[in-house]
Amino acid sequence: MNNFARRGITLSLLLLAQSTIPLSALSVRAQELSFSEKLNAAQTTCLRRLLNVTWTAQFRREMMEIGQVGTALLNNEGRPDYVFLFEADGWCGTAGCPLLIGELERGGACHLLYDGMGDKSFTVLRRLDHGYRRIYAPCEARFDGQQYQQLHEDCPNPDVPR
Amino acid sequence: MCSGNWTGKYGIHSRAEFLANPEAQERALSGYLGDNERQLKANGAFVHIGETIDGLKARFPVTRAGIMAAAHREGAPATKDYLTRIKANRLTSKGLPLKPPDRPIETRLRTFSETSYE
Repeated sequence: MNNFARRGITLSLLLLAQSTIPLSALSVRAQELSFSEKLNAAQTTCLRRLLNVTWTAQFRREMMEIGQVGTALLNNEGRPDYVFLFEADGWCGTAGCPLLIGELERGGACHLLYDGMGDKSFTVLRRLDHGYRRIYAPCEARFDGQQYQQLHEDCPNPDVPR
Repeated sequence: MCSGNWTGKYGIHSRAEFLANPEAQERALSGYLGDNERQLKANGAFVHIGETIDGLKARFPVTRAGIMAAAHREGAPATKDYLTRIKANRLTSKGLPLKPPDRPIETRLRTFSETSYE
């Protein structure tokens, strides 16, 4: 085999590997998150930044204390997305507990992906919308290109599909 | 919605016992509403009673029943958070970037505004 053919095979293998990485990621099964009460430095920074653009100042301090975090890969860029759940006495209603999703960006910024309600049954599905995985939080939410939007406003409700 | 175990409160130790006991269900709901009311009083939500909000669908007065209904669905902090942001937006939700829980909160504040609550 000459050098030209060897380079061609190497290039083909590289291209194949590049093209199969997203495909293998897409084949990941639906994933339920586990939540931790301990936030690392990046998660703490991300949460603080999200709270500054979502909740009024009155609640931010307590939310920093009660926030639990789960880590998910919602797109195929390889950066972790953080799911913050605020499940504590007095914080929840029949629709669930406050839930924020933040996406860590290069340079340390944290972009808000979702600001809604949810619980620990949070599940990441295989299906993609605009490059981001569909979620059950437990209500279904889809990415619209900017943020996740809950599909049915009245969910959760026995008469409404999730 | 919070995860946990049956504590034995009201003599209930399982889901089946709870579903078979209407009195315990009534007491549990009363207890939950009482907890919510204490939270709403502490966080200042009731200060907004009497304000009139120019909502997405109609104008409506903020009442105790409306606040209780909204907090029952979305929690006391989210309800107060909505009321604070609406107040800062000159008591209108028009032009305010609404969060997903804001719409059901506003819907409950509006639809329960005429309901009596004791």
